[in-house]
Amino acid sequence: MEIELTNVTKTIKGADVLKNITYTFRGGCIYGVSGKNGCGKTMLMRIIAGLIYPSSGEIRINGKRLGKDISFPESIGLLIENPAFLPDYTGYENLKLLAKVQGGLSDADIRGVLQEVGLDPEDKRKFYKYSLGMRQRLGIAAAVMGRPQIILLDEPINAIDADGVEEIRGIIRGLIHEDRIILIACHDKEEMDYMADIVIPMSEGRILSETEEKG
Amino acid sequence: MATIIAMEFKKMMRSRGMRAALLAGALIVVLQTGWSFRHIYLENEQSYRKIAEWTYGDPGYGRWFECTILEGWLGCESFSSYNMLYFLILPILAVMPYGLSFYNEWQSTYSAQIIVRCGRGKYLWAKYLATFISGGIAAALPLLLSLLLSACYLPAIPTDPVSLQTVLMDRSMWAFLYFEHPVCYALAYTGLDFVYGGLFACITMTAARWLRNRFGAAMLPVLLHCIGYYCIYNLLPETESYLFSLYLDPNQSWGMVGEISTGPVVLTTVLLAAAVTGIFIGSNRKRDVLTD
Ligand SMILES: Nc1ncnc2c1ncn2[C@@H]1O[C@H](COP(=O)(O)OP(=O)(O)OP(=O)(O)O)[C@@H](O)[C@H]1O
Ligand SMILES: [Mg+2]
Repeated sequence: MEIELTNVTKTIKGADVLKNITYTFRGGCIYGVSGKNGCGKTMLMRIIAGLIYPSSGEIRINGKRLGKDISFPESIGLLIENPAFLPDYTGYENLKLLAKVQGGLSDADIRGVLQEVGLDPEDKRKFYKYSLGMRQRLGIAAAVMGRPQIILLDEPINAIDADGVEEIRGIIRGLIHEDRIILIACHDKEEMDYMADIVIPMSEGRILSETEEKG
Repeated sequence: MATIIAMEFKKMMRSRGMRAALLAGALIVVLQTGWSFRHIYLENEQSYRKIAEWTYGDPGYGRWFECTILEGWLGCESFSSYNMLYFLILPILAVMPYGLSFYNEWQSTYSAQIIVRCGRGKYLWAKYLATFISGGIAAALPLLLSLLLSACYLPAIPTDPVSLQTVLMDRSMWAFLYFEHPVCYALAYTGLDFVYGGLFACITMTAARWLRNRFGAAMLPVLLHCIGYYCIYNLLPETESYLFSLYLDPNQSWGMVGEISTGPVVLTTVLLAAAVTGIFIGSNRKRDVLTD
């Protein structure tokens, strides 16, 4: 498993939100992107997921060029910013709809992943009644459901209570696999150092080199 | 592709907007049916009996007053204002169920969840189909319901062209159906309104991106409808055959300057559908999934 970004630049309305990024992600460990608010962490995830198109440069996933050979990564789960679900459906129903589109997931899998993130699959409350932390947990469940090869988690422990943080960390660590790339973004440096095996510092749309980081 | 389409259809049928639109439509239909039962059916029935008395029991004389199924139908009933009301607000009803679903999902980044699982193309086409059908259902179901209710108390006989009850002239669009197969006329026209209901919903879905305002986007089709009706028609009455505002209503007695005919109606409909589909798919196919 390999994601290769070569000279990726993304310009939105005249502003470079990603600048000349060259980096190769490999399976088997947790990557953590850190940096100040607005430095481009979420944009990096969006561009890997094929949700936004690079203005220049290329992204290859296992050698296949994104946007050319494939229009989106074959197996990916993501949590980007605020988890968005259908407000009038329960957590279980929401996952079930996504699972249908994704394919190859049973009801038991969906129940399992809900329990894993600490939600009750039998909960009849609709998503709009969920608390902030419950929404976040459901977002994580959607991202890891079916154990995709690429997992992108943007601020995964936002709004999660202390016990929950431990659980989520456990889930994320349990996902590590040679054939899986896990990328998390977090602006909390301590948390990042704790969770990630490889920390990627970003600033103003660029990935900093080691010397830049120290300086 | 079938999975995502089925999912969108299920969501569409379950949406609150669909319930609200059907309820509003049903309310108009029930009120109109009550009105026409009292003021058309019962009153005509009385006159009919009186005439039958005068003519020593020859019921043939009463034929002038005989009401037909189309006179009780929301689409053609022209004595109350329900017909005008319905075809004025039809674009609003059509937009209610699903017209803003795509915009909402895009803004909330829910779209991203679907797109990474099946790709943009499938998502866009499924959304387009579901939105089109949702608008069609909201526009057409009340008309069907009204036809059914009308059939409960009025006979499905053709309207007599000289009875003065007719709302069509011999040169009106589909007049042969109206005068010979009234139920077919009602169904054919409901089909046309289904297509426009669908197009209205898709116009809102397509335009919301640029208007960036849910209410404004939802009101756009009804605004176009009114502009067509009151501005363009007053300036250029000859264009009525090309103006959907003028031919949405099966009661064709409102226009009648340039004669509505099938050719221009089909042409306008096809061009409009092609434009809406083209702009929607074209403008979103390579679009960054970001909130605007
Ligand atoms: N929808 C958008 N349209 C235009 N520009 C955007 C949009 N979203 C973000 N940006 C810009 O892109 C840049 C990077 O934003 P990004 O969301 O990736 O930051 P981030 O590192 O995730 O920040 P945070 O820690 O606050 O989540 C910012 O300068 C931001 O202003
Ligand atoms: Mg972010």
